[in-house]
Amino acid sequence: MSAARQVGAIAVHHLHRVLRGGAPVWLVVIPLALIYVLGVTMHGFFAAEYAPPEPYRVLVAPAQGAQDAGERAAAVAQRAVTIVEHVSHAREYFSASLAAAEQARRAVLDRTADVAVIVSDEEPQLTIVAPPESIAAASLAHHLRRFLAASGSEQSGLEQSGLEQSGSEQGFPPSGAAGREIQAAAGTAAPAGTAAPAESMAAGAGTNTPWSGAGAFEYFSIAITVMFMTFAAHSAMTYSAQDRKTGAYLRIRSMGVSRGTYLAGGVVSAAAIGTAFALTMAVVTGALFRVDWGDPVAWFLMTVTGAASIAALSFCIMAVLPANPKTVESAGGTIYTLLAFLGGSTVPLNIMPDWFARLFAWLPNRRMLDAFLAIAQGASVQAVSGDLAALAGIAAALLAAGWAVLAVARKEGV
Amino acid sequence: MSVFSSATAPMGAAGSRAPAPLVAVDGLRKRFGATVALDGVSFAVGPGEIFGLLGPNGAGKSTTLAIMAGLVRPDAGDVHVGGHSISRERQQAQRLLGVVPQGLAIYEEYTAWQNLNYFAALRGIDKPRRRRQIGEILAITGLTEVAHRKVAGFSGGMKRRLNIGIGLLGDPKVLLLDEPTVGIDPQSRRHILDSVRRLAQGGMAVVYTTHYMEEVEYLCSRVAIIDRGRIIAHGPIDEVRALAGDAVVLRLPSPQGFMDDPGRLAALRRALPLPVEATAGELRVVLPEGSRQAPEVIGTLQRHGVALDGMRLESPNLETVFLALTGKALRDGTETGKGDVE
Repeated sequence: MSAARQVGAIAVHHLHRVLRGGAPVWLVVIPLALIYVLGVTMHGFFAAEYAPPEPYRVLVAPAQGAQDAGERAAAVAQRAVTIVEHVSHAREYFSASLAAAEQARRAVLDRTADVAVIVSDEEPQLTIVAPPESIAAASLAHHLRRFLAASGSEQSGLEQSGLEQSGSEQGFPPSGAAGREIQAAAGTAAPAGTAAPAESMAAGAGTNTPWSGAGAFEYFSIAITVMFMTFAAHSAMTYSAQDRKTGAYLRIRSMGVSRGTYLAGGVVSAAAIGTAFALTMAVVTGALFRVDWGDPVAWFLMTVTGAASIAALSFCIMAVLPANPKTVESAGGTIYTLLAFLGGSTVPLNIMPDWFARLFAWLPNRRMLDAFLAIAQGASVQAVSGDLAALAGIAAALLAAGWAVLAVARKEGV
Repeated sequence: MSVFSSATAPMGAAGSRAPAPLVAVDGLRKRFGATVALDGVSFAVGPGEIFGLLGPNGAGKSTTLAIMAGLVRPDAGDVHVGGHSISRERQQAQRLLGVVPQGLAIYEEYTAWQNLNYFAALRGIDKPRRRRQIGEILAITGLTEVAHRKVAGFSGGMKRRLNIGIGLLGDPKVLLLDEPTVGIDPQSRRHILDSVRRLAQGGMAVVYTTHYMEEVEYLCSRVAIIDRGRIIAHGPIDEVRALAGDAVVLRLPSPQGFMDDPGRLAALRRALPLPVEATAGELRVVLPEGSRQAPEVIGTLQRHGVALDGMRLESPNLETVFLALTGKALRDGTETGKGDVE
């Protein structure tokens, strides 16, 4: 029998065992219940869904240069009007009107407007001007992303740039982060805010992070799915540890299955159960909570790569620990619960301190969360290619480390 | 599957002519850290032969089998199965082997049929042949009626039978059985032993490790007694049994108040210049010169306050040999005092 077929047989066997072990209940019902409870109770913490007592005051203005150039000026003005109309649909959130660019900026600085949108025919095409940490800006950014996506600017996104003027000069608090501008780069290849979550966090205000535009159900559907993907993958790996305990592993090895083939079967099964779980959750949360997971190709690649990185981490855990399924299971549960907290799955990142979000941005589950959120908000494969590469690298490094540990410990005999 | 013949004629016993070996173990040495697990173990087993590997726990039986199965690399020596070296041609050798590990290497959440099907798939048996072979194995193990029940509901004996059945997948020429009857009822044990006999009658070479000497005496034509990684006696059963010479074993049911007192036991061992073994159930004294030593031993026991109720003398058997050669019991490996004789 070829090694590939043996890997397949072992992987299918582990999958069977996970499914027969009550997984359909704990891997679907519990996450859905968590998403529902968190989605309802944490609703108010999400800028995109936070409904202010009074609608945010939004001024939309054509950029200064665009006002002087004939047809181009007309196009920009038309776009500004369209944006006012679009934003005004969300009247619970926004009260929008047109203004001149300088007047709009001044109004924000004078606090007579909460946020201004400067429309241009050059890159960036939309610039949001708002005080630092502005919930109004985050909320508006969320709506504009949806608008841009709906209006066919698929490559659009919002990009946070440097400051136009210093905050102290403009009357904003001199906290180091003065007035912020969020720019829509319609037609650009990769929105920086989605492609590089760590860098976007470094920008500080949290208004262009992947989670800033997410609603509570969207955020928790993705976050809890990532969290339970880790549990699902680890459950498959636990069965590998169980085989080593019972003697089934030795029996399998005596049938001509190499160590590498057996371990590959375990890793493949862990990645496969993680992927199958993510697919189930994408379908179910789409149906129940209207969560749009975004581009299917980007989602699939991220799911498979992320599941592989988790499977590799589980493999490492199994390699390091004694061949005792109880130990492997409980250690994995502890590690993944901790990772879920640090990676923003249990407590939303937008209510955590900035340093916290920045410090743990490298965690594989956190990268998955950021990338899934970005994909849900319109990011393409290219936009998340950095995350895909990073997760693939993590998977390769962890597999190599686990293999090295097993080789050094000589736990496997031949 | 020809090996599942229903004939039940007894195996040839001691002195049967050794056919060309199907499996040859040559000078195996294995060390785990500072512990010498095997120290030059050699033997050979021919087709149709049941070879017993007898020894207490920790003697090296399972390590020998693990090396024979290609699961552990020896420090020195080699095993040839059907002419293939387990070190250099592992996969070819493993194709000829069926392995029954000591632990229950089965999936309790699966049915017997699913267990057999999974391992058959890993063994590379194609589907039509797999179906036929699974049916035959279920028949020989007496599990046909419960083939589609979850193993979790099986008795210990049924699980052991399934454990053996999986080892028969792929028509192995050599079957390695590592203590296959541990913890089961007498009826299941008898069923297993008879099945092993029938398999050997079909031409299979069987290596059977156990610490139950009755099983070896019932099944095997030849035996090796292993202790601390070395074979201390090897050959046809009658020849090995003869190593005990005139020795007999004096057995006393656990004398109340005596076994619990290490001081009294130590004093007895000092007084008796013979191997004395104390287990939870009884006190055993090997009399190397036979029953003529009994009066003197009994006198010593009486002087040390040991009640003699239920005392009996036992004829030499493999256990006697082991006790005489090592001063240890086969069943639990308990060290015994040997007085001042050694």
